[in-house]
Amino acid sequence: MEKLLDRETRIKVQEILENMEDNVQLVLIKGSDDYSEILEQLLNELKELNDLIEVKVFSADSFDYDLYELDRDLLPAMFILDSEGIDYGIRFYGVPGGHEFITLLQDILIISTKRIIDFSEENIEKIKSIDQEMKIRVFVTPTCPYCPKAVLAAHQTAIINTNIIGEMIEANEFKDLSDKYNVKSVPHTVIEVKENGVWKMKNQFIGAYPQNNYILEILKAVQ
Amino acid sequence: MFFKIDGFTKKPEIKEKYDLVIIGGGPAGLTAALYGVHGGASVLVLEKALEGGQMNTTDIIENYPGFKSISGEELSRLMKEHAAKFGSEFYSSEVIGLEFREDLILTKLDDANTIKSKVLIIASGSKPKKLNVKGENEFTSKGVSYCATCDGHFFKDKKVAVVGGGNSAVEEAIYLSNIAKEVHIIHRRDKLRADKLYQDRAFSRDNIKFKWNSVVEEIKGDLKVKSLVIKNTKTNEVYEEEFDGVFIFIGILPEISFLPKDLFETDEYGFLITDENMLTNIYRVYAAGDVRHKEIRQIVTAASDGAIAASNAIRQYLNL
Repeated sequence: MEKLLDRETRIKVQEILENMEDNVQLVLIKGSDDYSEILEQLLNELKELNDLIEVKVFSADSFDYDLYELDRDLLPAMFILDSEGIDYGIRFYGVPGGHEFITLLQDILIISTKRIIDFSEENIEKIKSIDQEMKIRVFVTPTCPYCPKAVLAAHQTAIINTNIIGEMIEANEFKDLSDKYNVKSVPHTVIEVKENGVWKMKNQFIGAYPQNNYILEILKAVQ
Repeated sequence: MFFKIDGFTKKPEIKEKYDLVIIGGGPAGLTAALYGVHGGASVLVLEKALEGGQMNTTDIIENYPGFKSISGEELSRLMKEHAAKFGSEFYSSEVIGLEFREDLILTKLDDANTIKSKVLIIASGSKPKKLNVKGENEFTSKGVSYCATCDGHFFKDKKVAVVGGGNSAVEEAIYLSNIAKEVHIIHRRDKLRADKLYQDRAFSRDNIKFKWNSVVEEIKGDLKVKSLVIKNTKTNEVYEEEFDGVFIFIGILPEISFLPKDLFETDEYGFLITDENMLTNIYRVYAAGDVRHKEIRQIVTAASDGAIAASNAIRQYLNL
């Protein structure tokens, strides 16, 4: 089978992954579509580049959805666990291709080294203060150069606060969901908060915001 | 399916002080960085989004010397690598304020860092100008877009309008014509201002149509754009036509939100006025690229501004 990552890219990815410290597990829940096949292949190619990466693949029927907060309607779905199996709320729905590939690598490094790479101390405290369950859903396309910044912000927010899930959603792969939120420009961030067991949209914004403005938008959703 | 890793940044350690701080990592900033490090200065480039700036959202570049045809992303990567190779440092952050001391400039960042420098080059670029018509703000990102490479995807086999007649408008219309079913260029004059090369290409596309002497008066829709109200300025005819999206490329405004008000000399739109060495009216502060008041805004002229600014800074203030 032809590789997804060409030789030059593999070498660069290997260099980046050399900074890993602990094992990470990439957990994939597959559907029967082509994107699921592509994502499985991509994860396996990453595994070949560093021994600290483990890949676990489930079909939708064999996966225990009760254990993790995941959207059952969106396949393929992927999340990252640390060496202890701890879930930090990082979600990928669809293939993190194009510019978004970098986000996956950043996330792997963050989970592997337990080092947050952005956010001031003050902003970390603000994120920690959120005591409601929150989903930060970031719609992206692979050709959008500003999207990785928005996804990484959502993922790091999730890592900082266990009440929060940070999602990358590939808008082309999930047209119905994109239409539901009327996504026409990316990155498009939708913030949902759980109220009485139901997810409710509380805020949305378009673009990769500077850090302080981003935090303001997040906090607006719980005010 | 492609997989890019160019944007990979580990948040680097930055020093408290540099000889030269550059705000903006587009072609002006990256070239200034290159000339700065070549001249022996310690250089930090601050970029809030992605090095390369607007080049990243340019599909194909065909007028940067030495490259017959190169993607905007590729040229961005090469320029960054070039400056980095000779020792320029990069930091991903947004500038929120500046303070000018007698012999130092303080640049305040949104992650609470403050960086000192002897010289500052403002190469923060520009942002798209709005049409200022009814419905534009309401439907921004709901069918109104200012970036074809970002949002073009959502208009596969749809009918879209491009407003404008300059290089950006025509290039983006050509890009969109590969995705959309029909692209209508709405232009207020009776001929395009774009370079002939792009004009010829646009005229040769069957699915690019032209509405001359026409202006958009209103953008209408429900949840998303449904139609445009268009006025023909020759005949004064006003009509409504269905469109799924509208891309606006009618010019730019300077990106200067972080600048202290009224301190800098600007033109009526806020573009910074400099002398021939790119020096602003503020001691040790230069401006380069799109943010500067000038006639021709191209990658090559931005690069040129950056080279002049950094070279002059080294001679005048850094004495390295």
